[in-house]
Amino acid sequence: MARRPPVDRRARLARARALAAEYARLQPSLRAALREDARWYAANRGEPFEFRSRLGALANFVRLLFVADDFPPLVLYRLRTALAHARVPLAPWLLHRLCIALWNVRIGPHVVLGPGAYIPHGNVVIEGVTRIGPHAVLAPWVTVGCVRGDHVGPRIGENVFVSTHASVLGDIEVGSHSTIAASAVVTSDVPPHALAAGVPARVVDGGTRPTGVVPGDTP
Amino acid sequence: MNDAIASRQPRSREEFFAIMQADARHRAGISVLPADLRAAARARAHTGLRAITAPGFVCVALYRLRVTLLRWHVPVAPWLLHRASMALFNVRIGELVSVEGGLALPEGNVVIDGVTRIGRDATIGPWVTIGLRRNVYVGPRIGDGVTVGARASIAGNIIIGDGATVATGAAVSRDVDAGVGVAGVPAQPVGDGTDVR
Repeated sequence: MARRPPVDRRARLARARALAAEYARLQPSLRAALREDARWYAANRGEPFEFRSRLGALANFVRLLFVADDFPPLVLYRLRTALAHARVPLAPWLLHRLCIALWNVRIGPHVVLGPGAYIPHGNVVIEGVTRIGPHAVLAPWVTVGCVRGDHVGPRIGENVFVSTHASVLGDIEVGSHSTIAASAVVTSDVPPHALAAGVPARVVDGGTRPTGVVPGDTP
Repeated sequence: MNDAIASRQPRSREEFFAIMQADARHRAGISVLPADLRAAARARAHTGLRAITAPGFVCVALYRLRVTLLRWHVPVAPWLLHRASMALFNVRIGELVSVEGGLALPEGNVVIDGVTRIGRDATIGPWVTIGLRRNVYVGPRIGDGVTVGARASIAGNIIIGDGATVATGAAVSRDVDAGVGVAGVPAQPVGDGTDVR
C-alpha cells in the first residue's frame, strides 16, 4: 500500500485559524441576515416575498416561524452567531443544543452562512471553517464539512442548491449557481452554473444550468 | 381522475391548491391505525399489541391523529403534533402528503413532502427523503407494498409501481415499474427486488 505524503498538521491548523479570523469579519449582520432569510424562505415556498412596508415583512417573518417547519432553527442559529460575536456566555451554546435537539441542525462556530439560506427539512450538518454564499438551499441529510485531518471546509458561492444526502467535503471551491445532485459526494472544485453528481462527484453539466429563483430576479 | 390531476405539474398557485383539495379526500386518518399497528409489528417482529409502544408506531399514530384533526379543522393541535413528531422522532410528513394504511417507519428519521401519494403497506427506513425536485410541487406517487431502504431518496413527479423495492442509498428520479428493485446513484433496476436490501 502506498504511503500517504506527510501532512504538516501545524501549518494546516494555522491556516484554518487565519481563515476563521477572516470569516468572522464576513459574518452578515443579524438584521440583514434575518430579513433575507425570511424573503428567501417565502420565495422558495412559492409565497409572496416582496413587501412594501416593514410591517408586512415582519408579519411574514412571524408567520414563517410557525408555518415553515425549519425556519426556527435558522433564526436560532442567526441569534447564536450574533450572541457569540457579542461574547455573551452560555446562551449561544444553549441555542446550538436546542437546534440539534429539536431540528437536527448542526452548524459549526466557524461557519459563515450568507444572508438568505433555505433549510426546507432540517437535518443538516455544516462543520469546519466553511463559507456558504447567499441564497443557498440545503436539503435534508446534507453534510458540508472538512475531510479527515483538516479543519478547512468548502467555499460555496451564491444560490447553490445542495440536494438530499449530498456531501460537500474538504478545502474546495463550489461555484455560484451550481447544483449538487442527490447523494453526490463532492471532494473537488465545482465550476459556476454546473451540475455535479455521483460518488465521487463529477461535473455532469457544466455552465448550462438555469440560475433559479432569486428574490429580485424575474424567474 | 385524481391520478390525471396529480400527474401533471400545476401551472398556477390556484391549480396547485385544487390538486391539494382533491388529494385531501385520500388522506387516511386514525381509522387505519390497526393496519399501521400490524405493519409496525411485522417490521419489528413483535407479536400482539407489543408494537403499540414501539417508536415506529407512535410516530405513525401521531401523524394519523394529525390528519384526522386537520380534517376536523381543529386549530393548533395538528401543528403541535407535527412539531412533536419532528422533535421526538425526526419524522416530517407534509400536510399535502397522503399515506394509505399499513405505513411502517420502524426507525423514524423520515422526510416526506409535496403533493405525494403513498399506497398501502409501505415500509420506509431511516434517513429517507421522499419529496420534491426544486421548484416542482408535485412529488412521487408510490404504489402499494413498496419498501424503501435506509438513506434512499425519491424525488420529483414520478411513479413507483406496486411492490417495488428501493435499495439502501438509492437516489430515484425516474419511474420504477411494479415489482422491480432499484439500487444505486442514479437508481438502476436490479432484478425483482427479492435480493435488494
